Amino acid sequence: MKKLPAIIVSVAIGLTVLAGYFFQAELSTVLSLIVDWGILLAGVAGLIGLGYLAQYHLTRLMKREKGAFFSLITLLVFLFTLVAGLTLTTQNPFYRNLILNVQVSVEASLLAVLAVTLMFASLKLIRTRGWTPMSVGFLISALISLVLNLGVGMTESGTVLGELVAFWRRLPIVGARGILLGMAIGGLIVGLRILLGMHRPYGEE
Amino acid sequence: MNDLIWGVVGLLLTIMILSYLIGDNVFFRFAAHIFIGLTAGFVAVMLINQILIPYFVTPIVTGGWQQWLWMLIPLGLILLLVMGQWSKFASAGSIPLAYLAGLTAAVAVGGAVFGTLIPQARAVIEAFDPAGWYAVPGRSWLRVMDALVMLVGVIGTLSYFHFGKRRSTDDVVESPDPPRLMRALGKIGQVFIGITLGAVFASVFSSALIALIDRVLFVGEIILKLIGGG
Amino acid sequence: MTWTLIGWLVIGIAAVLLAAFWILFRTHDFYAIRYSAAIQSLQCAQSGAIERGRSRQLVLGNQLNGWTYPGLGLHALACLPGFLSQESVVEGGLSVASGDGELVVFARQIARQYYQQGFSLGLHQVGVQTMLPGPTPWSLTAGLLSTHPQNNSGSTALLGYFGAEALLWSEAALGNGGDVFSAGGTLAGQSVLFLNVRDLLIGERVFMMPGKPDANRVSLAGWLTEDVLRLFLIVGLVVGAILKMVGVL
Repeated sequence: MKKLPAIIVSVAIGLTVLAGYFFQAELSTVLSLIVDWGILLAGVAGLIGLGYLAQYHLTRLMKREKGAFFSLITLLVFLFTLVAGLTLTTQNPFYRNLILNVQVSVEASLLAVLAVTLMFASLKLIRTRGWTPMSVGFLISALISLVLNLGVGMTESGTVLGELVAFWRRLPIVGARGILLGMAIGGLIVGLRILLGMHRPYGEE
Repeated sequence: MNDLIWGVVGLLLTIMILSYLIGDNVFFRFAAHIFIGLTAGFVAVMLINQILIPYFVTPIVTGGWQQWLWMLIPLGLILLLVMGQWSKFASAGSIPLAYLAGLTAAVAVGGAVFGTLIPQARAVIEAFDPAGWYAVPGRSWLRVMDALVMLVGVIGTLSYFHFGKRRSTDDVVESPDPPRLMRALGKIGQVFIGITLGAVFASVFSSALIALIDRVLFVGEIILKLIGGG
Repeated sequence: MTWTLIGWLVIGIAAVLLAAFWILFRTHDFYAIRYSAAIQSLQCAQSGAIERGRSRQLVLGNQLNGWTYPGLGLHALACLPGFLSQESVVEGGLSVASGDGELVVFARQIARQYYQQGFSLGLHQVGVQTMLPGPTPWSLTAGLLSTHPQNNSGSTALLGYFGAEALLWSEAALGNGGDVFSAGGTLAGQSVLFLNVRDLLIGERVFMMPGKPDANRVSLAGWLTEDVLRLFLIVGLVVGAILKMVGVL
């Protein structure tokens, strides 16, 4: 009985939003309210999540656990970025430089680390997966795509070779389409399970 | 001068992060924790500026009493959500989370059907339009082949995902077999999935490689500037 | 008939089938799901980690909502109860990480409600740690890489929405002597994990995950509905192609 109000809220909100896809004009006012409140709640949930991040580092710091120094760094930078962002605004040149220079440097460097990791991981492909239709398809496709990405085999469209290269470039779309269709069916069922009250991620399963 | 200072900051962070390639170390952790703190602070600022203020504070400050009354509902939901974070009042959080779950589920259902299922299925079917086949004279055989490969590949890929299996009453050991037709089509699907993943891997690898080259060039450029050669 | 109407028809049929199978499975047992070596391996890795006194890690991805892969975030949450067990509470050491604050709040709620049914709050605090290592995909990566050596994870499961950065998470876990399982990710994420994660569910197979091995009737109804819808879709594609060729569509 205790879980009934939550189920009612979830199902009512879900079905109203879903109905909004069909009766857009009739439900536009209600929909805009529901979506606005949803965005607001999601934002607050995001802030709570950040609170947990701060709490995790604060606990590590207070208990002087291993890595407490790094937690101190995280907390200091977090507070500085937060206070500076709110007081200077995000348009301030110093703030923009701070965010861009740190973010771009770290993200691009992590991507660079990923490049090297990919290189070594790709050597393990057959050891991990063995010789299966999928791994053979992967290997051939990866090699040909890498060669094509380098610009090798660039031919004029209209020639038979050009058409074959274009055909090869279109081939990955086939599997992608199948994968996306399959995942859409899965996503549809996951959503419907909540809309029908069968699955309740808000607790009280 | 200002650019050089920021360049040095970027250089130090780049080297610290790249040091992960020789294994986890204090420099990497130092840079990683700076980055975590910075993104957390920045995301918090963005959430406050782009969600909390326009969707909550502004309507209360600028709106009339009717707006105020309407805002009591999200205010109540927010309070419940915040209260729910304390173990004692955990069940209070279920109402706002149910709200979010319902909304997310509806978006997922709509997105799955109208954003993926219909457009992708339509693209497969549209490839069989005879008008498209004869658009380029002399190349219609390629268009027909394209369409057929698309259909067979998509059906094969979908068949690979089949969940069920033949059921027998004395099924003590789980049989790995789905129905025979599904198995055959699934084998074709596996090849297409492999081709897709291989091509996606190649594009991810290319992008990552470009980032690696960019970082190496960046490090070189800043070092040259520092020693006065740039 | 318009495409929008066909979309509504799909939703309607799916909802009716799901509800009908859910009711039918209350009294009938007529459907079985295929064996999955990856899921079997995950279960072994989970119990192995508990036996060896090593922690377990669950990564729920970095997005609850996603338009290209709708439902992946919710799917990650649907999988979570399957990882919560009495052992988690008694032995401790299950960490649930995500790069999205919303997902963390949901995960915390699910864990709390699960354990409040049979255990004290004190035990719950020891059992499951929900955390946000970083609020963006790359900061989540930085967080997972810089905290991983400390949490000594024996079994890592990657669920939900994530991209190619997951290769770094998996390499870190494997390098630490742990097992890695993945049931989620974008095409980019799945393509890179294909290289080094043996226990990997690809495409729609990620939706085999919640409910295994002790499937309840909600999971069974979901799987069977997916099977039926997939068959409808295959037939629909063939019929649609023929109708297009003869000029009816």
